[in-house]
Amino acid sequence: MPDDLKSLFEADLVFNGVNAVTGEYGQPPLSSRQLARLIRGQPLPEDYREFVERQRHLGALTNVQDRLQRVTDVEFTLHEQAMAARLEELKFKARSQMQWPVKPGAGDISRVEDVGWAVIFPAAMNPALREEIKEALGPLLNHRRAQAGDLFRVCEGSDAYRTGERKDQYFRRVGIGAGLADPDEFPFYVLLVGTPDEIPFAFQYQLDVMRGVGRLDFGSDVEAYADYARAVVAAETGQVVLPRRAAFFAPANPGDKATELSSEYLVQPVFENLSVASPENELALLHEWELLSPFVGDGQATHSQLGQLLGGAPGLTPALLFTASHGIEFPANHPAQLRHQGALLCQDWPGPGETVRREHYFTGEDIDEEANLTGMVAFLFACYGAGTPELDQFAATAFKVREKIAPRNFTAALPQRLLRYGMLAVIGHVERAWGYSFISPGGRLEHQTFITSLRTLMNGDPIGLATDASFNMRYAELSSDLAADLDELQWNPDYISDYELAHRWTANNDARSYVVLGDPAVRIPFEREAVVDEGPVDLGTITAEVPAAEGPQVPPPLPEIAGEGRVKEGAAEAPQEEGGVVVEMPPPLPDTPPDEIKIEAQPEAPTPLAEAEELVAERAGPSVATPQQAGDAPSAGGGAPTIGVAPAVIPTTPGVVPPAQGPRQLVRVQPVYVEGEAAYVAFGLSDQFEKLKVSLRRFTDQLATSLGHAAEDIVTLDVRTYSARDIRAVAAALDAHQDPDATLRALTRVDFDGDVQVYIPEKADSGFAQLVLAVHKAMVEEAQTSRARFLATMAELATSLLNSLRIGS
Amino acid sequence: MNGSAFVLSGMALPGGKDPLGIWATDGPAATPFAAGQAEDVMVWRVELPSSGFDARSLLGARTAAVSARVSALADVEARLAALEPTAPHYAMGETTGPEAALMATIQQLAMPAVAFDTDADAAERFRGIYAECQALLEQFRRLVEHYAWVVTTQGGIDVALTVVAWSGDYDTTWLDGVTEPQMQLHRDAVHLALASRDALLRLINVVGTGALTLALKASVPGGQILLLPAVYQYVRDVLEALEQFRIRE
Repeated sequence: MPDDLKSLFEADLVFNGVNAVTGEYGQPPLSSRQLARLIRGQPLPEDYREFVERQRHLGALTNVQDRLQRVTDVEFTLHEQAMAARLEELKFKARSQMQWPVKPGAGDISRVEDVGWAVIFPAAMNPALREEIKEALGPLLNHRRAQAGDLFRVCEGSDAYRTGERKDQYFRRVGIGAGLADPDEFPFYVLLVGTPDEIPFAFQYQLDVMRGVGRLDFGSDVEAYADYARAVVAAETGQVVLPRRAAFFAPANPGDKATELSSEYLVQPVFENLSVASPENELALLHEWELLSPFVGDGQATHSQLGQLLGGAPGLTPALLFTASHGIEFPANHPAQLRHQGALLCQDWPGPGETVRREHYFTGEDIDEEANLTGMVAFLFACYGAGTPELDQFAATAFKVREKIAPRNFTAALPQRLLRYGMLAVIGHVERAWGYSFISPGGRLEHQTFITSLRTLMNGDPIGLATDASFNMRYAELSSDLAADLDELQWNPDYISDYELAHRWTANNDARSYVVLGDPAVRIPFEREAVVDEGPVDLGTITAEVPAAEGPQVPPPLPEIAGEGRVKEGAAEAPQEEGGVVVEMPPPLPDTPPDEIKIEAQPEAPTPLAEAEELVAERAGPSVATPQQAGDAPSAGGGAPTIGVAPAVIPTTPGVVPPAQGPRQLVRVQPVYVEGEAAYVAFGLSDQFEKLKVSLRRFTDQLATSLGHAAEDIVTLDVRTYSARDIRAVAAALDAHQDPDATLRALTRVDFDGDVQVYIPEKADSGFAQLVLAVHKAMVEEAQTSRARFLATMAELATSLLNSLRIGS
Repeated sequence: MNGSAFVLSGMALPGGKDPLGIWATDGPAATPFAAGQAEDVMVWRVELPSSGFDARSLLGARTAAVSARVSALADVEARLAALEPTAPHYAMGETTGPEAALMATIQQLAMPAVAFDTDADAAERFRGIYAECQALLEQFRRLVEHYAWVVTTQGGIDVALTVVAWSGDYDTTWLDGVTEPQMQLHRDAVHLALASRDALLRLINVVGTGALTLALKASVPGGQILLLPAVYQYVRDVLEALEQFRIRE
C-alpha cells in the first residue's frame, strides 16, 4: 500500500461535497485531532467560532441565528434514542448469525413470492393525491400482488405512517413484532411512497435494518409514478433485457484530495475486483459481465461522458453504473438547492476554490430528453446524492446546534429524474458522504461493502438485498465499535488515536446513510446465461424441485440435450433448502414417454400484462404464441431465459423415474439458452430500436396529454367568427400571442348538455354581415361534427397504442 | 396568380410529402407568418387559383383522394390481420408483392442473428427504414401536439384563417369583403385539412396495431416496436399499389 495512504490521516482531512456558490468544500478540511474533538462533542471555543464564521461566509443568509438553533436536551435525547434503537436492532441482527434478516423457514429472501411486498403511504399525504398515485402505480401494485399473493400489503388509512413515528412505534401500532422479519406478519420488501418530510429518512434507515426498503418520491408528479410503474413491470416481464455491462465514473479534479482518493482507491480497486469472477472469500459472480474501462479523471469523467452513459448514447448505456464524485451542495434556501443539490460534480470543474459553473455538474435536467434508462441501476457515491435532511447531523453531534441546511427534507432531483426515465433503482447517500470510509489509518483499503453490494446486483438479486449484507451490516459493526470507543475514551483519552477515531466515525456515518430509491424488489433485467458452477445454490440460480426416490437418493443426471437449450451435466448435486426459483417437476403422467420429463416453470398467478397478452393472443387466433409461451418472459426469481425458447426437455436415465410421492429434493438446472443474439442487435439496429421506442413513447405521451387537454375543455364548444382587413396580420398576431386586429362578428357556445347560446350583433343589415352570420352557422355544425370525429380517432388511437405499448415496448 | 398548393407547414417528412400523398410538407421553418411561436402550430395551407371552377375542382379532387386513402387503410388493416407469418407458404415464396416483402422481413428479424451476419445490404436497408419511421413518428407527434391552423388563399390573397383547438373550438377570421364562393372554398379547405389529420392518425393506428399483431404471431424478439418500420413500409407499399390500380382504372 502506498505510503501516502498511511500518512493520509496526519494531514488535514478533506471531505466530499463542494458548495456550488463558493466553489469550496462544503465541510472545510479538518485535522484528525480537530475532528476527533468534534466527534466527542467537546469542541474548543475556536472550533465553534470557526463554525459560525463559516455559516456567515456561506450564507445567502447573513443572520446566522436563522440557520443555527441550539438543540434542546429533549431533541438531542430523542435523536440519540432513535439512533440507539436502530443500533440495538443492528447488533441483534449481527448476533443472529443469519445470512439474511428473515425468520428461518420463510423461504427464499430474493423472491417476492416467498417473503412478500408492502407499500406504505404517509398519513400526511393528501388523500386525493394518494389515490391518484395508487392508480398511477396500479401496474406495479398489481404485478407485486400477483407475485406475493397473501404476502402483499398496502398500508394506508389506519396503517399509514404517521408523522413523527419511529419504526418501533409504527410496528407496535400496526401489530408487527420486533426482531427478524416474519413475512407472514409483515412483508420483507417495503416500498415507502412519499417525501422525506412525510416519511423521514430516519424511519427508512430504521426499517431497513430488518427489511429491504426503498422509497419513491416524485412529489405530486403522478405521471412520474405511472412511468416508473410501467418501467418496473416491463423489466420484470421480459420486455427489457439489458446487456450485462457495467460502467464506472470517477472524476479526479485538479488539486482535490477527495476525488483523487475516491478515483484511485475506491473506483479503480472495485473495478479490478469485479473483473475477477470468483475472488477468494467473496461473492462469486454467476454471470459474465462486460466492464467498461473506468471513466476516470481528465477527458474521461466529464459531464458529457456522464450524459452519454445515462442514455445520451444508447449503445453505451450500461445496466449498472457506479459513480464516485463530489456532490454539489447549496446554502439553505438557495433558489437552486432543491433542483441541484446532490448533483454530481464532474471532471469539468477545475478544482477547489474555483468557480463552480452550471456545466460542471450533472443533475436531472441534464439527462437527454430521449434517454431510455429502463432496467438500469445506479450507485451514486456523492454527498446528498440521494437526498438532503433539513438539519445537519454533524453540527448536532459536534456543537449541539440545529444547523438548518435546507428548507425541508428532500429527495435529490437527479435520482428522481433517473427513475422517471426508467431506471429501476438508485443507491445513494443522504447527508454528507465523508469519504475516508474506504481507507483505514493503517493504509488498508476497506471497500468490501461496495464490492459486496455491486456483486449482489450483478448476480441479479434484488436491490433491497444489495445494501443489506454490505452497508447495513458494516454500520452495525462500526457503530458497535464506535460506541465502545467513545465510552472507553471518557476514561482513557489515549485508548485509540485521533486518526482511528476520525476514521471510525466517518466510516460509520458513511455506512449509515445509504438508501435505496425505487422499489427494493427490483433486480437488473439482464440476460441470464447458463450457470455451470456446482457450488451451493446461490440466489438467482434456478432450481428444479423433484420428488426424491425411495432409498438412496440418486437424482437423475442432467445430460446435455439436443437443440438450443443446454442443461449442465451432473448438476443434480448439492441439494439446498434455500435460494433460487423453485421449479417443480411433477411426476410423469401415464402417457408421458418414459425417457422424457418436461421441466416447466411453475405457473404464476397471471399478471395484468400476461392477461393482456393472452387476450391479444386469443383474438389473434389459436396459432399465436405469446412471448411468454415462447419462453420470452423471465422465470420467477430472476432467472430470465433468453428469447424465444421452448421449455427444456430433459431426458432421464432409462429406468430412473422419479416416484410420484416422497420427500422433495432440489436439483439444479441452468437457464435455457439460445446461441446468438436477436437479429436486430446483429444488424446494428439497437440504437435505432431504442430511438424508435422513445419516439413511440413520446407520441403516446403526447396523445394522452392532448386528450387530457381536450377532456378539460370538452364541456363547451365555442365557435367564433371574425372579420379583418388583413388575414396575414391576424395570423402574425396570433402567432406572437397578441390580440389580432379583427372584429368579432358572432359567437356560438354549445354546452355539453346541448344548450346553445348565440351572440350576434343587434344589427346585421349589410350583405356582408348577413353572409358572415350564415357561414357562422355552417361552421358551428362543421365544428360539432369535426370534434366528435377527432376525439373518436384520438381515443381509438390512444387505446390501441397505449395497450399495445404495454406489451410491445 | 393561378398556381395551387396544398402545404402542411410545421412538419418535415421524408420526401417532402405526407404518407398519404395529399399534402406537401415544408418543415417547421417555412410557416408563412412572422417569427414567434410558429413552431407551436401546424398550418394547413391551401393555395388555390383565381378561377373558382379550378379551385373547386382541385379541392374536390383532394378531398376525394383522402376518402380513397381512408378506404384503402381499411383494406390494409384487413390484409394485415389476415397475415399468418408462421404459415409455411410465405417461406416457400408462394406469396408476392408487399406481403412477401413483409414476411421476409419478419422472418429475418425473428431468427437468431447468426444467419445474417454478412447481410450488410439488409442491415443498411433496415437502418434506413428505422430512421424514416422514427422521424415520421416524431413529426406525427406534432399532429397531436399542436392546434391546427387552416389558411385558404385564392389568387394569392389570404381569404380566411381558421384555428381549431383541441377542444374543437373554431375561431375563423374572414377577409373583409370575402365572397360567398370564397367562404365555401375555405369551408371545404377546413374539411380537407381535418379529414387529412384524421386519416394520418388512422394510418398510425393501422401500423401500430398491425405491428403488434404480427409481433405476437411471429414471436419476434423486440416485439411490436421492432416491426413498426416494416409494417409502415408495407402500408405505404399497399397504398401505393392501390393508388396505381386506381390510376390505371
